[in-house]
Amino acid sequence: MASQAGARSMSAMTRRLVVPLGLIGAIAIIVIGGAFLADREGAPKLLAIIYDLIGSHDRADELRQGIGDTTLAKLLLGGVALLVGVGGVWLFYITASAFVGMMKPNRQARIIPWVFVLPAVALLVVFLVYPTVATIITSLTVDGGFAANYGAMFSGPMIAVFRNNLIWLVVATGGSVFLGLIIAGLFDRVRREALAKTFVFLPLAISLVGASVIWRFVYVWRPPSQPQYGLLNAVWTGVGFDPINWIATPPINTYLLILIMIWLQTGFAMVVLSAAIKGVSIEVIEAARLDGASERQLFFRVIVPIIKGSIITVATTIAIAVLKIFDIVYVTTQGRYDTDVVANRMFLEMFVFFRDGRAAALAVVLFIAVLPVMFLNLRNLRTQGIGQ
Amino acid sequence: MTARPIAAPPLKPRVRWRPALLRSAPLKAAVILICVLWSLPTMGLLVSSLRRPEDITQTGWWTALLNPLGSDWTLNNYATVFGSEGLGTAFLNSLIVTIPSTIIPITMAAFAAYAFAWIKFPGRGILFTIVIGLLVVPIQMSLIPILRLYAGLQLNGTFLGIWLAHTAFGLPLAIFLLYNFISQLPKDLFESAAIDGATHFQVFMKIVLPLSVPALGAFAIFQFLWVWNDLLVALVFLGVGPDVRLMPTALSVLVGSRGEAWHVLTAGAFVTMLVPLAVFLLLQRAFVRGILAGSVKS
Amino acid sequence: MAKRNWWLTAVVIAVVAACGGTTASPSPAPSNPSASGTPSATATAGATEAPAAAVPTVPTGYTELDAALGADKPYAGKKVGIQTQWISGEGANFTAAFADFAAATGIVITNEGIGANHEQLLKTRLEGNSPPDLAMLAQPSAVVSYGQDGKLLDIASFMDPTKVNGDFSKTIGFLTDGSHIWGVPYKVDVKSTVWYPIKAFEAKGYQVPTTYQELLDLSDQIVTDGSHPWCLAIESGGATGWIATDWLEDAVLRTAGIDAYQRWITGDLKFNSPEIKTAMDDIAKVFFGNGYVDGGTTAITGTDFRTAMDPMFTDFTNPGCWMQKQATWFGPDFFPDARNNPGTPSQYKVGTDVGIFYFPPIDAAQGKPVLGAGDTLLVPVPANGGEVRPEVKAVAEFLSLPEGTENWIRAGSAISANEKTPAEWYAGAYKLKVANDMLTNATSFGFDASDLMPTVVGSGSEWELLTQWINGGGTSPTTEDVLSQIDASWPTTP
Repeated sequence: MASQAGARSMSAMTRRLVVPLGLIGAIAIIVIGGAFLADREGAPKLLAIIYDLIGSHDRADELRQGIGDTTLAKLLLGGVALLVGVGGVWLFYITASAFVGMMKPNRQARIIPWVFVLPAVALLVVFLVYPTVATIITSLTVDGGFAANYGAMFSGPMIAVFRNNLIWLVVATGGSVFLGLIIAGLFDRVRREALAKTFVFLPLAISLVGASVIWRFVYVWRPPSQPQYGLLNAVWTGVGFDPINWIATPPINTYLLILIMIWLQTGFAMVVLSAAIKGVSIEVIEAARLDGASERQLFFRVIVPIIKGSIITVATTIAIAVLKIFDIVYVTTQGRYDTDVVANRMFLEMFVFFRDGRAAALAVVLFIAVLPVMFLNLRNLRTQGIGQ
Repeated sequence: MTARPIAAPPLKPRVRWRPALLRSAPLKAAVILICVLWSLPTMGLLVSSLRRPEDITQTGWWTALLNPLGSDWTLNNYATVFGSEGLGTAFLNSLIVTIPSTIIPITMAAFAAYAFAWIKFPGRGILFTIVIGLLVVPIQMSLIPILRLYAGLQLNGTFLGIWLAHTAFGLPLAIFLLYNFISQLPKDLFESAAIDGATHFQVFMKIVLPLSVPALGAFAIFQFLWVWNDLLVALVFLGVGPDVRLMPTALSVLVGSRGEAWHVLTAGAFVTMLVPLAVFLLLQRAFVRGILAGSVKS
Repeated sequence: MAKRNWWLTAVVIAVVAACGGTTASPSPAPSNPSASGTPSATATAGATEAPAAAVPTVPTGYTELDAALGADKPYAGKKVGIQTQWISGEGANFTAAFADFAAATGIVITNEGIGANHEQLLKTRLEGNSPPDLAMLAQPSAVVSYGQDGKLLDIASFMDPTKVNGDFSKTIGFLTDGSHIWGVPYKVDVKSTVWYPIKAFEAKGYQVPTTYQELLDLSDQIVTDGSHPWCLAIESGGATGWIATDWLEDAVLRTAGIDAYQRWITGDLKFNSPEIKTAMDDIAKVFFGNGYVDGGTTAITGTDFRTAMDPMFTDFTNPGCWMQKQATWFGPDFFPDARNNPGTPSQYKVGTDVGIFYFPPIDAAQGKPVLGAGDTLLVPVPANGGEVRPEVKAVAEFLSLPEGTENWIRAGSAISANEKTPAEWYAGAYKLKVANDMLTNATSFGFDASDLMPTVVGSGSEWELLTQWINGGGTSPTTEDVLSQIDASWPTTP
């Protein structure tokens, strides 16, 4: 409040001087700071100067030669990053608004929304809109152009890749939603609901890479003469079968990789659907009970249809994540043994086979696959009157 | 943590339905079974990371768990991953990447969301539609062009490059979530502020920000987990160089180069999970609220 | 006082940040990632150190190198980073190889060891305009294609091509395309080697086989004696299959001969030809031999290659497996006791406990061919097309000399690609002596074919399909299916 009063009492003259200077300062900080951050040696250099200043020339020299401990330099880099990134961004908004505030009121009203919106929109254009266009162009011009790149989409191995993505889409999405629904319904009826939910929900915090390592360990195979330390094969041999190298055995391996995704995403589905179930009005439930519906009928015939909207939303959300699946396949099989998916194939084409055109074509196919979801999304918004 | 919620209005509070608590034994057993099944894989990881390398491949981890006093426990594996396997550096790098990549998009998105929700300007509808449309554009689309763009700017392999990328990739969801929240704030607040002669900036700072803390927090957790756990963006824009490795990259490199060394892998995987698990357990409520704000449709 | 210091610091920070800004964007300042992750891998200039050992003592004729070794140390304090796939033990060996040179010149040389994903990262850095100063790569085909894309400096532009051709007469051909030399061979590995437990062989009275038939007979004998002859495991993540390609290449050299082998590399001899099929049939005898591998084909494709020989050590007097065909880069660092306790050397010694024999000839008419592979040093064009700095050239020139590998050789673990390397350097180490003898006695030398073929085949379909072939026991898919599918993946445009 005090600062507000101070700002108001500031004379017009000083304001006219301070605000442009502030704006220049903000831009300077962002530019200089950005350049410093783009310099890979920036942090050690800066730290070396600081060491020199405090009289520790030995450590400064060590750093310049690249042998000193760079942990401190890293921390310095993080500090500067926070200062420049966060401070600079804030300074921009503050001074730009103040700058606009000095203009005539009707011009202010026209410009201020753009000050608020432009930084975000500019980043989106550079990082998402332009690349989308560029990728489409790459897929049409590089590595033999349209015919070669999109023609390759219909070759044998590539069809297997798309088939796998389809299996992922159906099984991972369906599995997560179904299990999430069942578990939400079950857990709704026990006392320690929150605790029980935490168990199922927890994997959501684990990275896909971490989860892949966890499950690789579950699927480990050893020759029959050796002890089975993988959980799945221990159980499997325990009931009398020969151990199976699960990861390398199609077609079951794809489903076992999907299981990792289901393990992660069920918690998400459960939380959302559980909230939806709790939103079902008590009158409806009572009415169904009075009609003599069993608990199971009540759940599947009454509650599920009512929360259909939530189920669809959860399913589309998971479906988009599943379509783009990369990490699990990359870490467990790298697409071997008939488990390849589009995103992994794309990475392979780009960084192992050096065929950017093929990789771009795969990205475009992926994009086309999610387009319907995008339109659905937009129609949803339109009906709610958002963005008019 | 991959599912990013998509368009849907926030949850409307209704009368809560409380079903009769079925205290039947089968139900209880099913619930406990589900909880155990869900935790078994992680349990195996944790137990194995505390065993000696020789033991891990000789007996299943459950034997150690069933006979905890007769087994040799060790913290050596953790010393190894932090020392010679370089996970300590990766940990620091992950923090340096994640914190700005969380705060910057929130700031930008909050300003944009406020403008979209409460300021009328030409092109608002179109612009907002485009932003929402970008929610589903696969990151894969951006990889090659941004890699080329960064090549000219020499941003590949720099932290600045990955901050910008994560900020941009996080913006559509951030704007969408914050818009959902900010647009629901009571209209009277803004009208009385306008009568007082407050500028949009003052309204944003004094009214919108303080009231939006729950939504900001929820998105912060989202973005934090997303960036911390990301592999693809880090792999492409930062690479796997020892000085810029992040936790997931370091772990995937471990899988590649020490694929047989389960003592290192299990400890490494558990270390990468520590921060997200802590964030998650501490802030679970806000996280759930964030998910619901984005995707429940009643 | 304290207040003034703080103020001063703040100002300097602003100035430095500004300077950092000017050097970073417009000028082609060499980018050089710091070595924070691997402090131990950096060799430093030290004025008080003992006189340098592995450093050329007479003028070499290379301008930058001779300047670097001058008394005034013109490049002291300059940094040169080399991206390699060498980490832990191998990384330490490589660092030792240039440590004396770094000390003598004051150049700060860093091994940026990556391990797995090294090739992917290098590709990203070259394409992404943030290349390392120098890099080592095992695939000559990739080196040449980077060169033709304008990513590399022509070696002939600063090193005398006549000398280079003379020093590397056997391998330089893979790195040239008429007018350019895109890399300098650094290290070679012999791949036609089989590791075996010496004392257990003696105890059982087994003889080192000298023909392929003897090898198969010995294998059967070991099965009859109740054990498994082969330590054969090829699982290697996304690269699974490369060990199978080594087997196939050795067999092609031994049955079809070096000329057919070279035509096979260029694609003139198809995979689905009688020559390659014959070779497949020969290696099938080991891969699918009854009882040859504990756990059969599933174990071959499902076990990490680094652990292939582990069963040999569970009871070293009575091994669980007896022979591993693996290249000369293999060694005690990979034995299970050393692997499980990083930093402590293995208790088993190469030469007394574990020996190496030559993978025997199949068809006597083809003589005694040797399959090898190697690492190539390449010099990337710096960011935004700048000039390669003289200290970088000096390091490249040094690494091309025998002295550039000397310390690694003396550690008993490397063979220099430079053919002028004195043979007595190898004499002390059993592994190197055996490998060097093989090279000397070789009637022909084949460079790893999969590393020379287009990467879509040599690092893609061939790996994948041979793995499927082994998984399916050689029948589903059939040998013919596998070979014709590899042919189908051969790119139509280079």
